[in-house]
Amino acid sequence: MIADLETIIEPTIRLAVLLLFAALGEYVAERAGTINISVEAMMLAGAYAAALGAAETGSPVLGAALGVVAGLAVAAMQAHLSHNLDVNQFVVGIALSTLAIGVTTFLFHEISGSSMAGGLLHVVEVPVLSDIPLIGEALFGQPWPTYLIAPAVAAVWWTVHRTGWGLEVRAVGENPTAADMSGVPVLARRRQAIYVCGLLSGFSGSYLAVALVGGFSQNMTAGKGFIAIAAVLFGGWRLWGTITGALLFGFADALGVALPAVGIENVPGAVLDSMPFVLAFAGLLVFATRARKPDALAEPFSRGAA
Amino acid sequence: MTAPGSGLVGSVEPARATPGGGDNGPDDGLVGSVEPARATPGGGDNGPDDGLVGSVEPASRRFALQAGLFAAFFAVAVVVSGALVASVGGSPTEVLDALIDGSLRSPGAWGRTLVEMAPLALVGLGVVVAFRAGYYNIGTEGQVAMGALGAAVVVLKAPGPAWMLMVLGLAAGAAAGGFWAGLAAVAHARRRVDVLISTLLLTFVAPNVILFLVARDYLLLDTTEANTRRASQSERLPESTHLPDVELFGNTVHVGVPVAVLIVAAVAFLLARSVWGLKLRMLGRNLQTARRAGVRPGAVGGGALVISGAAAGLAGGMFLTGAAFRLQHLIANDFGWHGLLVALVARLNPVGVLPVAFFFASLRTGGGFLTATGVSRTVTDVIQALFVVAALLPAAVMVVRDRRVARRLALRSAAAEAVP
Repeated sequence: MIADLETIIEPTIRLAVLLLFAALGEYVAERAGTINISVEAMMLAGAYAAALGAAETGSPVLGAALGVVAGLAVAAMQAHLSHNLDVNQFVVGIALSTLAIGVTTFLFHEISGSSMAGGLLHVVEVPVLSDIPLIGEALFGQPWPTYLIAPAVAAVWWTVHRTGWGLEVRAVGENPTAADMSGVPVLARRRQAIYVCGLLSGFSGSYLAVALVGGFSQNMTAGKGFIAIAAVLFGGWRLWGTITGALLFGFADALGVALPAVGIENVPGAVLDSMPFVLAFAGLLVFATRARKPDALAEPFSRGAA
Repeated sequence: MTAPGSGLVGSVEPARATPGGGDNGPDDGLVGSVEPARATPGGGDNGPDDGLVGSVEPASRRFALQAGLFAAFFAVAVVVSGALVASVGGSPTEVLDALIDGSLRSPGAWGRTLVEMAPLALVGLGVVVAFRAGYYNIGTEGQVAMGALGAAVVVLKAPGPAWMLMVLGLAAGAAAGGFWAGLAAVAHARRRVDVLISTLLLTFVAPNVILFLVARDYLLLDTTEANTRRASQSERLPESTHLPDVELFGNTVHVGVPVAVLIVAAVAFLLARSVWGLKLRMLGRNLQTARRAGVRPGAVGGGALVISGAAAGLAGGMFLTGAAFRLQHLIANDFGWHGLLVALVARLNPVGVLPVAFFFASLRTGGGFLTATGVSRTVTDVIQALFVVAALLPAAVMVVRDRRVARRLALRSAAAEAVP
């Protein structure tokens, strides 16, 4: 029984951490007023770049760094098109998602010949702690980038809620006109928030490619970026809510791997595969109206237009 | 999205307020912020600007400039695509040749392209309707799949004469697609769930619904002799329920193609000329104003969302009964995603949907001919994406330009005021 629970908890943590890296980035972007649906594109580009970098250089760490750069590149396009050239942010996101799928699939077929193995980042077993029954292996026996989630959460909380920059980010998400009148560069803050999202989502993609899978496959993120967005909405634009959402959806995602592993095989794959999406939709239904949404979310800003 | 509020910039660019000028203009909602100044009645405070009206460019020049920008950016997209092909060792001219062969030149090719165009155009049309109302339905891929499911259930399971099953099947397809989008509409109306996210999440559920149904012999699994390996797919639709073919200058298309063209034309007319079309646009522009004018967002916007789902569902049903003939879980075959892109490249202009859909359909049918060139057919996905980006940029450039002009005029009039 304990072993069965461990079999479920362990992938839950991995997949929740994967979602949470991206969701943290999306959290920052949304607090600044952007529904950044190019998270999926950032993750996919990050995963491809990380796998490619790892395969070419032989170093998964360099690969992960390259993945972050790819995430930032997508962020640059999203930020400047939507918060400088005034193209609708959703439309930019859709265009970038298409571009990311197209380019990664094409390059994957053409350059990498559809096989790309770059080695995995090694697992670090924290001594003593990883021997704790039930949760030891899940929390303290993971590939080492998993542990970066703790400083990442702390850093996001600190910058968004305790620094001047974070205050300005939240201000441009709530009332850009007032922020503008106080001398806050609204569009710049929104762009910077998207860059933060690119960094974290690019890393999330890297994590998938070089810490969990050890390679790339066509469209390997398969909607995980959209679930990360749902985690932020589910969490009511609160950091703890976002973390809860990521854990919940990570759990739903993990059931697909874990249930057959613990001997429960009569749940159809079709049901398991749609679980995270159904759960995310149901979660939004239950919690959406209670949430405190940033007032200016998804509203473009231009001076004098309000 | 409202006009620049200050009196100084207020009367800049009346050129864009010309009726009909909105066709290619940034009014389609894809590009925000700098809007044409509506001729404000209490125009007394516009005094200092009056002398500047002469410097405003005529609408025709503006239109020519935009057309030029479109041509330039599309040319860039073509060049970048060619460079990409060359960079992986392919020959751009060979690839282009193969694409044209596969989509237009070889016997029967443009008929096949038209058959692909019909669902793309329907999906694109639906997206135009929903986006115009400000309802971002990006879950069309799932709605196409549900549409195919609805059609398959009726055609395979309902009793009745074949022609009736065919018609009812298409209707069921539209209903199923509309239902799938309707879930998002209800979630939005009742619980304020963001349409963008909910339609997207539902998209990932749809293929699993189909997979569940076609894997069970008491539901839709093909249990005939032919399917010895019990692959997860439905029975082939009986010949008599397939959409009838139409001969068109030596090419064969199914009857769905002209039907889709007629539907696009009808909806384009309604969008431009009916009260309904006006309400949609009002809602998309400004929720508060629309509400005050008596537009009910739940009914009009939610309705637009359901209509767009129904269009996608009809596309799915049409693809099933006209080309695929057999249901399996990946039936939507990217028609939903590509149709979404069609609407964006057409800049939410229903008239533009048909040519853009034809172009994207050519990439789909032409892609099949790429094997001989040694370049992966996935290159067509990149080309599509590049065209989407290229279609967005001209309006963005115009916005930057307008902003610069507005600032200059504002500075000039401020300077004029300073003189006693």
